[in-house]
Amino acid sequence: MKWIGLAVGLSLISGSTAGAYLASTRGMGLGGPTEEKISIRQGSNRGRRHGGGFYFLYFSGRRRHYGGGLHGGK
Amino acid sequence: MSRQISCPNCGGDHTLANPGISMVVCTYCNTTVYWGDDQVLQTGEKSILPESDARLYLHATGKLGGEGYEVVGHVRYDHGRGNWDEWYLQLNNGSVAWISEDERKLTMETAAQADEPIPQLSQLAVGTVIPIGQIPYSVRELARAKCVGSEGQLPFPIQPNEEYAFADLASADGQNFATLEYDEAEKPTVFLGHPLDHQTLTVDEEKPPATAAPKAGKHIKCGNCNGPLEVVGGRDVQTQVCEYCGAQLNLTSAEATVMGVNPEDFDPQFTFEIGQGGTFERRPYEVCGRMFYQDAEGYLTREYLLYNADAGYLWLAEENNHFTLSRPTQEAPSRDPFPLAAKSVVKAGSDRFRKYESGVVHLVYVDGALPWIAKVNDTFRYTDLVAPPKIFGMETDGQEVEYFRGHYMSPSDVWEAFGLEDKAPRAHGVHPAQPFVRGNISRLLIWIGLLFGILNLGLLLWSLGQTGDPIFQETYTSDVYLKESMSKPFKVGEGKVLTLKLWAALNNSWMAADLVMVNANDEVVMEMDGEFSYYHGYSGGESWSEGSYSTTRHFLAPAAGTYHMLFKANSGSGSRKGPPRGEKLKITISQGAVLSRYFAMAFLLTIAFPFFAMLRQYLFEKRRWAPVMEDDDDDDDSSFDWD
Repeated sequence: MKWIGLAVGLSLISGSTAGAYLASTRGMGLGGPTEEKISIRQGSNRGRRHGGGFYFLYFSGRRRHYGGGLHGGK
Repeated sequence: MSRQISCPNCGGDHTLANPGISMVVCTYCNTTVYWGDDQVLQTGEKSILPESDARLYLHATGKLGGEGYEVVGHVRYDHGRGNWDEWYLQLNNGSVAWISEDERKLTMETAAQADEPIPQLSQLAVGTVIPIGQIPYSVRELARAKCVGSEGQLPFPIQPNEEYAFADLASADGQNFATLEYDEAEKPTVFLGHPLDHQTLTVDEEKPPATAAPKAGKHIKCGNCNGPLEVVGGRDVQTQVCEYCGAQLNLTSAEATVMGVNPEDFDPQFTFEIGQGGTFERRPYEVCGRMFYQDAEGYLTREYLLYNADAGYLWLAEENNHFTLSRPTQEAPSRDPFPLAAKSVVKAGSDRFRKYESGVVHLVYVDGALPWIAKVNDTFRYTDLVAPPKIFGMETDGQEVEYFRGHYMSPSDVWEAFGLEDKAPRAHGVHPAQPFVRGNISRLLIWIGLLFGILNLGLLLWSLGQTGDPIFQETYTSDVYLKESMSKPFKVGEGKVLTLKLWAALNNSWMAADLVMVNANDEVVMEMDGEFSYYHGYSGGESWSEGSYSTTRHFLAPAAGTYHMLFKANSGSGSRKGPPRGEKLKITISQGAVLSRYFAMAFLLTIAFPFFAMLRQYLFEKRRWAPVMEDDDDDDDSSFDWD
C-alpha cells in the first residue's frame, strides 16, 4: 500500500513539474488563432474621399468589445 | 605471621585477615567479638544477617581491577527505605578496599581528606552542591544508617542497631560518588569513590547455593489478616504486599510488620499481572510489583516493576495506553528542573531535554514484592524531562532524589514484548515522550516534494524573465488609432506564445484597444484586445494612484508568416463617453515568452505534501505541550513545602 502511495506521490510531483514546463512554454490555455478566417474587406468600404483606397470598418461593423479577459501577468 | 583469637563466648578459633581487624563475628556462635578500650576482647550482641540477593558474599574471591581479593567482612545497613551492603575486601597486595552494593550496583569508596570545609548535617538538603577536590557533588540522599548486622572481620567494632547520619552525594555525570558520615566525631568523615562495573570486580565463583537466597522463599503470616504468604525468593525484597488483604509488609526486620493497607473495593485495573513475563532490552523480565499513582490534578499512572536476575529492575509506566520503560541512573540534570517553566532546556549527559512538568503524586495502590519500602499514601515530587522518545525522570521525597532514564514504548511495542497475541489497545492523546513517527516513504516524499518545490520556484523565477523577443513595436498618435488603421507588416516566427503589450502615458484617463492580426490574404487570424487606465490624486493629506500605464496579454501564436495589425483604440477620462485624451499608444508584440502561472501551480502542488506533513507534526507537538502550557501559570510546584 505504501509503495502505491509512493508511486502516486512521485507521479504527481514529477508529472506536475513536467506538465508545468510544457504548458508554460507551449502557451497552454491561451486564446489562439480564430477558426473562421474572415476577410477584413468584408464590411469595409472603398473610400471616396481618401484617394480611392480602403478605409476599414472591421471593428465598427463586426466587433466591439472592450475589456474582459485576463489582464496583467503571465 | 597471622594473628589468631578465640571467641570468648564459644571458644571458636579465628585467624585475623590483617593487623587492622578490630572486630570479628564468630562464625560458630554469631557473637560479635571486639577489642575494648582496654584492648581486652569483649563480646557484643549476636549478629545474624538474613540472606540477600547481593552478588558478593563472605569469603568470595575474585579480582578487583586485576588484583586478587577475598571478602573478609560484611556489614548491612538499613537506611529507612531499604538496605545496602558494605563489603570489606583484603587484597593480595596487602591493601584493603570497601565495596558498597545496593540492588547489585557496586561502588568503591575510600576515606579521603577534603581540603574544602564540609558543611554540618543541618546545613544540607537534597540538591545542595558541595565542591570536594574541585568536583561539584550534589546531595542525593540524607538519611540515618542503622546497622542490621555484620559478619566476618572488620576494621572497626559495630553492633547491630548502631546508627549514624550520612549524606550520599554524586557528581552530575554520576561517575563520582561521595559519602559524608556524621558520627560522634566533630568533623564528618569523607569517603570518595566511583561506580564499579561487574567486569572490574569479578567473582571467581558465583554465590554458592548454601549462601544464595533461596529461590523458594520462606513462609510468613500476614500481620494484618493472618493469611499465609510465601516471601519471594531469589532477590532482595523489602516490601511484600499481602495477596489477601493488600497489606504492605516491611520485610527489612526480623519480623514482617504492616506499614499500610490498600484501599478496599478499589480496582486499579492493571493491564499486566504479577508474574507475567516479557522480553525487554533483549532480556527476559517478570512483573514483580505494580503501583497505581495519582497526582494532585487527578492524572493516573500505573507502573509495573520488572525484574531480571542479571540486569536488575526496569520501570514500565502506563498512562492512557502509552508506555515508558525506565531504569535508574546516577546522571543528574544540568540544573534543578523543579522551578523551571515548561519547555525549559535541561541537559542530562549528552542529551538535551525540555522540561515537561513537575508535580506531586501519591501511591494509591501497590501489590507484588518490591526491593524498597513502599506503602499507600507515600508521596513524592517528580519532574519529567522529555526529548522524545527519551524521557528523564526525577523523583524526590525530600530525603532522597532519584533519577530515571527511559524511552517511550507504543502499546504494540509493549504487547509484542509481553508476547500478547490480541490486538494492542489504541493510545489516547499524545504522551509527553511520544515521538512523532514518520515513515520512510513519507520522509522520502517530503524531501522529493521540497526538492521539486524548489525546482518549480526556480522555474517560476526564470519564467518571469522570459518575456520573449519583440517582433513588432510601433507608437501611434490618436489621429491614427482613433480610426481603424493598418500597421506595417511584421514576421511571426516559431515561438508558441505571443505577448501583446499596450502602453500609454495615461493621466487620469483610460485607453481601450481592439486589434486583429491579418495575414497576407487580408484574413483575420487572431483577435486581441486590451484596456487599461491610470488615475491619481491627492486627498485627505495623502496622494493616491490606481491602475497602470500599460496592459499585457498573452496569446497562442498563429502559424509562422508575415502579418499586419489592424487596430483601433479609444481613450478618455472618467467616462468612456468623454472626449478622447490623445495620449500616444505604444503597441509591442513579443514572441517566445514562457508563462509563469503553471510553475506557480506546480510549486503549490509539489510543496503541498511537505506542507501538510509539517502541519501534522506541528499539530502533534501542539497537542503534546497543550496540557502543560495551559496550566503552567497556575502550577507553581516550587512552592511545595516538605516540612
